[in-house]
Amino acid sequence: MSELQRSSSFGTARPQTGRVERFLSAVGARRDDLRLALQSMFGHKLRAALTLLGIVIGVFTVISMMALTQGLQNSMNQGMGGLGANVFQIQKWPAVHFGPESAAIQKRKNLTLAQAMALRESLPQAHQIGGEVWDFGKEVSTTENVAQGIQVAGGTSEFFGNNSLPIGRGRGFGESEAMSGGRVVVLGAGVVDSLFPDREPIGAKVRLGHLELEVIGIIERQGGNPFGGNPDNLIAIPIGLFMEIYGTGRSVNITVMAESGSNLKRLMDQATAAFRVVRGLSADQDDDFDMYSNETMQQTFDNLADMVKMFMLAVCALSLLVGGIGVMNIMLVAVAERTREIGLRKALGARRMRILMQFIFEAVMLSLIGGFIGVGLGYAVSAVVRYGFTLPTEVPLWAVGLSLAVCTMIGLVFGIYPAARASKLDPAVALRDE
Amino acid sequence: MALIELQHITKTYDLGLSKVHALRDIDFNIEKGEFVAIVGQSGSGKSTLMNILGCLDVPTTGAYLLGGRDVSTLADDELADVRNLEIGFVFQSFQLLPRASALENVELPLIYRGVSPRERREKAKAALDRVQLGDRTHHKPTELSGGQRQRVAIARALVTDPSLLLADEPTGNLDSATGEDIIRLFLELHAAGNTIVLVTHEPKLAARCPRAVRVVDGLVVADGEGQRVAFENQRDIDAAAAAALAAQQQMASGLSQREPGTGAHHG
Ligand SMILES: Nc1ncnc2c1ncn2[C@@H]1O[C@H](COP(=O)(O)OP(=O)(O)OP(=O)(O)O)[C@@H](O)[C@H]1O
Ligand SMILES: [Mg+2]
Repeated sequence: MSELQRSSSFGTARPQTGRVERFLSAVGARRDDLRLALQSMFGHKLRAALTLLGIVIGVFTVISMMALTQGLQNSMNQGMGGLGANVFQIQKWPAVHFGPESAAIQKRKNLTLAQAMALRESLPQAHQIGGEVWDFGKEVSTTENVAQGIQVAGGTSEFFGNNSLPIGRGRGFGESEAMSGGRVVVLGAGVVDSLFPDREPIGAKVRLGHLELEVIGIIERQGGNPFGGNPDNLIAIPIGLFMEIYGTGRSVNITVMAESGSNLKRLMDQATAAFRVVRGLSADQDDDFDMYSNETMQQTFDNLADMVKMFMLAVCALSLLVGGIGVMNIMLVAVAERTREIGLRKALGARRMRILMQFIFEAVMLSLIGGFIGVGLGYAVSAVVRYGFTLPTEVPLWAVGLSLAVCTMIGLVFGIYPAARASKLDPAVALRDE
Repeated sequence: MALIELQHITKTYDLGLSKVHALRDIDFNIEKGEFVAIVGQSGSGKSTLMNILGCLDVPTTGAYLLGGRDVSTLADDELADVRNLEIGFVFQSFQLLPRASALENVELPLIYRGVSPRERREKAKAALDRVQLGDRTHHKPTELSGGQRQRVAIARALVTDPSLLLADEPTGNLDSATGEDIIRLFLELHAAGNTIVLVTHEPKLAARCPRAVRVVDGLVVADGEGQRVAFENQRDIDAAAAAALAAQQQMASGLSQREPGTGAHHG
């Protein structure tokens, strides 16, 4: 009689009545599918790895290219320091460059302080023109404390204005002090933190190289970006003093500030003409210097970034397509190989949806693993470039998120067809498959 | 009411050009608690019948009442549910998942029933204990002998506590001693109240079952006490073999009379 009672509850014994139960069983189902997917994947490591190459390459390209682009952006932000909105800079090297410079650029002669002074004479319409020289990784000390990795700028009196580094307390150096090389120094806020944690810096002495300098001012705290060098870890000294300490071998960067409200672009054109004369170039010679403002730099960079992005998108789309076809292929092979397994699962009571889910899940896991490998490789390249080539690369999190989301999509899209095939197998036929 | 009622079941495979009548008018009942052998020669329709009994397939015509419910017209997913809840399968080739442990294999039908992992584990362990494999729960199929594999498969069939246990040639891939163990296990399960249908082409096996149904060309030609049906079956097999031998001898002698020159080569 118990059999009769059984039969009356036919089909309802399964937890399929309530919405909550159905949801819970679906969640449970997914956990089991995950386990099954991993099990079957690790049974075919090599095959899985090979077919995932497309996805790996696609994701790797996106991540590493984004890291490089971000690195350039960061380095640009650092390089420009706080070049004011109406300021442009003339320098020996191009502002943004990859790899070794061309021979023509290599042959360029240094810009000199004298040329900066000459430009002052021939470009009176500019508001002010200064010269500056930089060095990095220096050590500054007091009798008690030492600050290392400090950027040292040697500048003329225009240095603070042209770089948007206003003096917070004390004063900057004047024109004659800058040229004659007075033994004075203006400290960045970060250097003050390290050297004068509990003492008044202004009027105190600090040691730079073999010289003792008097602190005459402090630059307002800049609060650097978290990636690049800290703009507060900076000291500024008269350019004459800089050359006394470090020699005259460095090319001078010339900063030009336009009158406020005037046309910066036109001033740049005028400056180019004037500076060509200063440099003694004949009409048929190319400029042997580069010039950039915040804006032109931004444009150069944006063009570059656009090119990188287009290239990246093309490579990425192509390899993801290849990757998707790889996923579909491996899943079709899996379905064919596991026909009997599918038959068995159906015989044991797996509904179509369960089989479908299982194989879609496998496809998604597969392409996600490819995605993770690609992300890992991208991070590796980013790290290598960061430490090997000192480009402050950074992998944007959104790119990681997007890549993994796209991988999930690929798994879904390219997994559906094989999974549907699996779910439609006739169990009686599938079980007979040898 | 009988657990199983087969009412004029036919199964025709349509191969386009030709039709194979695998089952023709099968009509018998199986009561709860019975142990029935389905015996017959290769190609007689045993597996086709078992697929229908196991709801892996539906008949072309006729009705199949399982526990009073007509399951011959159900859709795929409904059949899946019936299989999950009512049927336990044992196959000739074991059909275990090679990468899963014995325990995981036995848990499989419970996964599809939506049983919680903890309960699954307990039930699967109990089922393995019941086939004396409680100490092999974490072995993979490749680490088990053929007989042990088949016992894992039987545990998997038992774990859902099905109303019907179906076994298609369960000893077909086993040596005779191991096959004997498996048959004993089935007899024990029968004694414990399980309903079992065993498909075999061996009259000797059928003889050990309380009841046997003999199928020839898709028709039931005998249904009764296992020993008697098996005896008849064996007698027919022997007679057929003797007839075949006689025909062969006759043909051989006929050939040698007509073509004495080449007869020696055939001999
Ligand atoms: N899917 C199918 N399509 C076409 N014909 C089939 C199919 N399945 C079985 N048959 C045919 O139906 C008949 C019965 O087959 P079945 O597998 O039921 O025999 P059997 O008694 O199980 O034989 P064996 O002892 O060899 O397993 C055979 O003639 C077979 O060729
Ligand atoms: Mg068969």
